[in-house]
Amino acid sequence: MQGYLIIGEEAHALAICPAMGGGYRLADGAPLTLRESGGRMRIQVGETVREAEIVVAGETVWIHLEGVAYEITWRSAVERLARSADGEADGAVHAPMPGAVVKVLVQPGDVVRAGDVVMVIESMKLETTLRAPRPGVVGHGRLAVGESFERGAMLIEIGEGG
Amino acid sequence: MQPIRSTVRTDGAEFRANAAHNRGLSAQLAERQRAARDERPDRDLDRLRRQNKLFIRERLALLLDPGTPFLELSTLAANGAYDGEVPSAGQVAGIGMVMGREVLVRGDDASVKGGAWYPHSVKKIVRALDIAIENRLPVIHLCDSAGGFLPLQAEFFPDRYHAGRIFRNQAILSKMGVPQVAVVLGHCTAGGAYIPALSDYSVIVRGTGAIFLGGPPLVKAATGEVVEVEALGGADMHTQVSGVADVAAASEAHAIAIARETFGALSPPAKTAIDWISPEPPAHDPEELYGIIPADSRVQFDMRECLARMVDGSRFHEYQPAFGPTLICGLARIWGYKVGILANNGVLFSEAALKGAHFIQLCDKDRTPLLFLQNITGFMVGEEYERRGITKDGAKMIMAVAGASVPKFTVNANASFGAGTYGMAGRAFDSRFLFSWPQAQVGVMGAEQAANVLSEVKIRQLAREGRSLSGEEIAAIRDPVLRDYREQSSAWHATSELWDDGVLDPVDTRNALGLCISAALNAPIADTPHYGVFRM
Amino acid sequence: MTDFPFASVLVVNRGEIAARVLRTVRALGLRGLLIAHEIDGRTPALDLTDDVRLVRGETPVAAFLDIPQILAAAREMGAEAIHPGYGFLSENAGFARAVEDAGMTWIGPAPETIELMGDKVRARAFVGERGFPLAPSATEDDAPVTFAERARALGAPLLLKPSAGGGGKGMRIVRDMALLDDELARARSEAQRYFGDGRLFAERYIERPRHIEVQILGDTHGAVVHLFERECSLQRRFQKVIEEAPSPALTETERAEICAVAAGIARACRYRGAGTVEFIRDENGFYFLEMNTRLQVEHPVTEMITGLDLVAEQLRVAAGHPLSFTQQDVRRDGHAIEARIYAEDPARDFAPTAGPVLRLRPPTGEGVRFDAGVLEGESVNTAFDPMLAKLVVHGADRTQALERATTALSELVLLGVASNITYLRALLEDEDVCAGRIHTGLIAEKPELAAGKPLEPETLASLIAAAALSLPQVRGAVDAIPALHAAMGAWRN
Repeated sequence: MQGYLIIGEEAHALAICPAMGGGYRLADGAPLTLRESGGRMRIQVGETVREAEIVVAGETVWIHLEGVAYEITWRSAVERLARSADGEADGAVHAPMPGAVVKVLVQPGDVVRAGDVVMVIESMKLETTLRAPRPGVVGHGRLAVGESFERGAMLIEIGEGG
Repeated sequence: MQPIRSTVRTDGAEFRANAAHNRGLSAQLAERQRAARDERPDRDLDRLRRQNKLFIRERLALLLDPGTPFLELSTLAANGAYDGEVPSAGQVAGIGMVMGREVLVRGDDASVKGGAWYPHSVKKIVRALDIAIENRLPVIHLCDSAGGFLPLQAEFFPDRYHAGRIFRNQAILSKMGVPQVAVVLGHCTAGGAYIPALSDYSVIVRGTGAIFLGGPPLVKAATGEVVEVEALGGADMHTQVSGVADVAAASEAHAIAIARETFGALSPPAKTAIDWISPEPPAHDPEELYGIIPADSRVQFDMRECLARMVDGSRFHEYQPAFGPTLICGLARIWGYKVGILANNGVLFSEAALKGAHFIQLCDKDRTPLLFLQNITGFMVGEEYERRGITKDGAKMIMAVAGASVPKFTVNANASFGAGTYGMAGRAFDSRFLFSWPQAQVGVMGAEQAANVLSEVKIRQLAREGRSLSGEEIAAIRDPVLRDYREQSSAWHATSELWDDGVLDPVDTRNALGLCISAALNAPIADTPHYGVFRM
Repeated sequence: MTDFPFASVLVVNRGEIAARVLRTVRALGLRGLLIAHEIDGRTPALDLTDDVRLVRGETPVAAFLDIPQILAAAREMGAEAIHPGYGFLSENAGFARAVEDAGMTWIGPAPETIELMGDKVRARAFVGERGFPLAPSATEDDAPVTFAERARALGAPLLLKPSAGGGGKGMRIVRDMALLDDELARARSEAQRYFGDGRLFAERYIERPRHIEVQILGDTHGAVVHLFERECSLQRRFQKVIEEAPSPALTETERAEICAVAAGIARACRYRGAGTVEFIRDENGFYFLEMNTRLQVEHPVTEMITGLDLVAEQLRVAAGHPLSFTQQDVRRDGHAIEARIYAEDPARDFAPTAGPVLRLRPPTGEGVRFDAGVLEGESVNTAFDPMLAKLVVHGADRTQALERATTALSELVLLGVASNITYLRALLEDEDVCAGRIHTGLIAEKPELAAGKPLEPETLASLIAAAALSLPQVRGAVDAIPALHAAMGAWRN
């Protein structure tokens, strides 16, 4: 399994197989080819042939196919499966160590992206920045500056949405 | 290399009769394997679902690279033991592809007695890890076991090659630098806890995976302590507090994805290079094997005809074709790899044994793996042969087999009896992989011969007492022996007892050997072959 | 008539309109000048300008509204005329005056005209006094005692709005006059609650109105012509999405009438330059809404049916030349449609999008015009309004124009930033739109068009294959499988 392709709201598991003598095929045997053809890309899946324009930017593939532009994002299996199974549990920011809140950079209702800095905490004279584990909407939590907490305490909740 | 000239009449009555018989055996094999792999009582599969667990076959499908082959070993282990209630000995083992590398995958089948370890289960695991050691194959363990089946502990615990050998093998693999990844998908109790502990990397599923030396009931019985599974050995405890496991996963699919990714992050293997060219399929249809192998296993057939359906382009370069003709020796290619083949066309005479010993040394020097196709009832007996030293000539062949440093592969293509088994690299002689064809037999001697010998002994004994036996009385002595021998020398029995690594459909042999050779090349081939003393 | 009293024109704008204006400026042999904000990076306008100055501000938008900074840049570059485009300072009378005071030519109407039409109340009064049709309304302020009576007299359905209000808050529609007193009372209390002021404004509520506007052109010699009408009824939250010329709703008589009214209004205020008079039309007639004293976004559809270059006309008028044609000379031919390409995601409630323009391949074809505001290789930002480009299409008739438009939208390749291209196509393929049964509420009534069509299995398979084989990590994982294992495929013993 080579990860998932997210198209719109749907995630599609990838299972591309090698074909004898090089090349690729689907699990049911349909051969897959992708070739350049006069400035565009020619895609063949079994008997179906289509022409498209394709641009790759990091883990996103943009495809213009039959008059429509599609944004397709690749996620590794590990990343995708960690998210979907855990749901809210993964969405909260937990304290990695006991300490106290130094600065809170978000408010309930703020929309954050994965990796955005949400809080700065202090522990053993060291300041640590905490980041949102996934994109979403900031929810409730212990947000008062100066408040102290135990290791593992839930500091900020990041809910779905945004 | 020239292609073998086939003289078999594929339209003849004999061919067709053989084919019908062997296809029947093949169908039997397929059905038995299907049942052993997939047929489970609904209540056992339902129980897995209720426990939020996947069936071992589903776990394998998630683990292996899509569109790649999987060579399953010893599918029919324990088929004749425990009243047939422990199919495949409750274990799955095989060589598969994960992230583009060859891996030895093994796992507990929790749908069979909760994945409990029976004596045959332990033997299968030990054998799997022996294969990993000999071929330097990384291992992925899919752990989900209720622990040892205590009523039979005397048969799987105390001895040298019993359960302890599993953990010893793991330690040796680690010492060799061969990676192991353990995926804890259920309980790893008592001894089983050491599998993840002795693996280089371990992933544990939150909620269903657990590792503990003693489960809650045992702990309560031992010390009175009352503690729940999660606190005693759950994912979060082990990945955050004890460090016994490395990563907690949210689900089985997640755990297996992590295992794949971990595995993919390891350095790729450096495989041993041997003579290889682009493969070509045999010039003769492999399905013709069904018509070549006689329906009656006592009928001699020409192994060259089998080779013509197994090797690349049916090409074979024979060595000393006129000398020792009952042993065919020669070079061929299987899936492009050059191999030296020894195959029986009759009883082993001195010349054949000498030729075999010489050929083995030639291949050893040339770093050419050896393939033994067994159809041997034994060495020639009789005064003339003893005087000419058949015993020491057989010994020389055995010495060469035992000392060879190139990988050896053995297929019992029909018969493997007596000392012929030894000279033709039988189980005791460290072939990397050993397979049986469905009609094959293995034993100290053929059933007929054994029955004759034993009844002969009895007849003579009674004769000394002045008695003689009627036809029925002879039959009464002979028949049970015949029956037991037949049963115990059958391929089904051999595979049940793990005397082989699986029964192969003859037509599958080429692919199986290709995969085995490729897997074997994960280990180096020693530079300088050397042997014990050849009694000249 | 190719001589101009100014040798250079500074375009105080950005995006597609800056490029479009500069194109005509250069075609007329004049020097093109531009101000730009760093955040826009490389743009089509930059490629067309002879000189540029960067402007800065607290926000990028503020930079384009910073009159002193802009005038300083104009002086630095030796600008002799200023074209404000649309939006930003285009209807800022103070800016127009400052430009003229600085000795530069203002490409637009007189500042007084801008002031008049910019004040909605003054504009309505001006238009009403001269007998041009206004949407019937009643203002409480005028005479509070008679307000309820006057409101009732307008007839149902009635729209009640707080005088002090905005943003659609506190508005209610009264369909049953028997409930008027109740509704008035509740509207008052709501207005009080939201805005601290209970006074109301009532006007006839136009169900399913059509937005029709007329392009007019006036010179400094008193001549005014109309260049026919445009229909801009396809709007989403008061923002135009698709415009066309002529309107499919009007008969020739109605057309003559509405265009005459527009020209009349322009004449009455001695309009100089290009302007647009906007009307609301229902089954009862049409009513003045407002006048825009600038070039509009959708002016290309008028250009395509009349064959005129409106920017060239603006420059000629600003140069003091009389119009080179009379109303008789103005002919219309065929039908034109404009679709606005926005950086927004219809599937996510039209949320603005951003990202790099990884590929931009405009459509080609007969009757197709593409005014781009971005270049391939640059990034779309959210600092300004999200319009990326305009696709304008001409056909012999409306049917052909619709066909060419949908074809062009299919051919248009824009990758790297999500846009409304597929939504525009869905709109143009919609049954009611094709039949011309459009009104300003249509888009709101058809939210399903924004969701897009479900994927056909073959399309999905092609997408997955194309994406998978384009990603090195997926391809690499499959390439890593040795030839032997690839050849055996999913073999099992």
